[in-house]
Amino acid sequence: MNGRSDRPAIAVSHLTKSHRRRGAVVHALQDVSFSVAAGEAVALVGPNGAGKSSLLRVLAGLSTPDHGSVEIAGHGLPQQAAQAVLGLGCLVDRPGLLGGLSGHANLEVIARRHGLGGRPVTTLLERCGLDRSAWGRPVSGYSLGMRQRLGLAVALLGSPSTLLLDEPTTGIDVAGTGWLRSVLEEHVAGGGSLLLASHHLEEVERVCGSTIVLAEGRVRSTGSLAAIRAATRLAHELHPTGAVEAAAAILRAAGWLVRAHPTHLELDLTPSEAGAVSLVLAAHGIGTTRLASSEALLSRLIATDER
Amino acid sequence: MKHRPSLAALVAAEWTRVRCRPVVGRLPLLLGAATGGSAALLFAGGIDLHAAQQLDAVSGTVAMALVVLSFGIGAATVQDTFTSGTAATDHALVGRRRAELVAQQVGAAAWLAVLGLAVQLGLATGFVLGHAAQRGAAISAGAWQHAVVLAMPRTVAAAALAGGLGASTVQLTRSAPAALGALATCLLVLDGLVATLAPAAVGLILPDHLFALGKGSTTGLAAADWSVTSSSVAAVLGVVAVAGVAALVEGARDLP
Repeated sequence: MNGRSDRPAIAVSHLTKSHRRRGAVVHALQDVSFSVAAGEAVALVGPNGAGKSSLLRVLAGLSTPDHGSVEIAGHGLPQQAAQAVLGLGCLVDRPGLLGGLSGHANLEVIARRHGLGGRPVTTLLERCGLDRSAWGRPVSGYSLGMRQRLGLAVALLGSPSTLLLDEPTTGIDVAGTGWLRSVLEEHVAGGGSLLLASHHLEEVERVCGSTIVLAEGRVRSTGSLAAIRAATRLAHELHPTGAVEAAAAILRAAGWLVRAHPTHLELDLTPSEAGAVSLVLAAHGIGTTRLASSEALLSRLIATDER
Repeated sequence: MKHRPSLAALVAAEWTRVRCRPVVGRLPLLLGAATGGSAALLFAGGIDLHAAQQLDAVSGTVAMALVVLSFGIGAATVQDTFTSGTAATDHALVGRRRAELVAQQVGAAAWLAVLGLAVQLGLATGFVLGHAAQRGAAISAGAWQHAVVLAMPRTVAAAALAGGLGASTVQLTRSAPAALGALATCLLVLDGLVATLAPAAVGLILPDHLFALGKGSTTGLAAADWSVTSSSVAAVLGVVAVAGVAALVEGARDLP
């Protein structure tokens, strides 16, 4: 690994980035601040257009911040980009590969450029699960999933201490997703850091201990996903066995904010509160045929600060 | 662990990239076509290899075509790095944008020098074969030397510079069609217009100098009053200037 463990793997402070799209100014990132410690795996989640890719592009040195500072292992960007990238492995946007060259040759060109020789190429191709028969075929004939696997091999070349991955499972099948998870877990277990962007909370939950929720270019919330999940009230649909109005009255009397519908009730509940609601109704002889969340956690996290 | 790549390592990677271009990657085919084409031309056209002017005309025409082709290949190679995402991937790995851009220019120029060499070699071989078929005798040493020793270095230099110029122009414009449009405008519109309206500004038409360098003559070009030597120097300086500006401008921009 190539990290300087006394400093954060990634440190972002008051980062702002705008760009022009069809004549209009788009504020891609606004006052974004966070850090990723050495050996930490952090998920960057948010809907499409939240600013995840813009943030990763700045961290990879592909675009320059308008304001704020970005450091990779203590190296400021863009001034010290050449030092910063030595410990960085990236899969941002799509993997940029030479279509006329084989998968093996593509990796070899990059490895040679960095003085790594040919040995890591074979090891990585084996590790990234690319079928051996495809190694010598031109990349132009690869499927999206095969290109993605090769892009991950490029990112892993030279055993970087920090990985920046943008939607790495795009085009990868179920088996590939499992393989990717094991690669990332191995990376983190070995002391490496990870910033993984995705719009699927469930996808990143098993690998990342912390989460940054990004929406409209701003950080909406940060922390461990389990803690966020436990503390976030999601809309729940409750179908009582008795009269809906009677159940609503009991819950309102107990202090819940209840929205009554002809056939069911709707309440905003944390997972622990959901259990308590059932108990309160049961104490009044009312059972529940159904109590389930109808809202995705990510949607609620994004909406919370807009209220 | 990755090491900081040297400029030579960056150029080597760019060399590989240009080698993958469809035209350049089929170099043996191109060599065969140049040989066959020139032999057929010589045989059918009844070109007299002992008349230096006729020989010059053939190799000059080929050199001019090669300048345009090299410009296009250099331009397309850089355009590809933007559209395929390799420019972004490379930068995320290397982190030295201006060095990456210079390496692109040099890598393209180096490979297109090889292309120029192959085409001119094919031409010379074609002369030999054509002459043998036409006259039933070997070509004279003088004519062979003229084709190989004099024309080849000029063509190689012109092809390399044109490739570097094509690469640089796309780095500036980020569009191969725009770069090719600029070249076409220079050759088809500006060339005649400047020569008529502002003859003093003729020296600014860079493609003309590349043509002059390639064909070894300024006859028929807007820069007809220039010597071949001064036109060649202008070609080198002009391409280096454009390349430098391109590296500075594109190096300061966000990657697409």
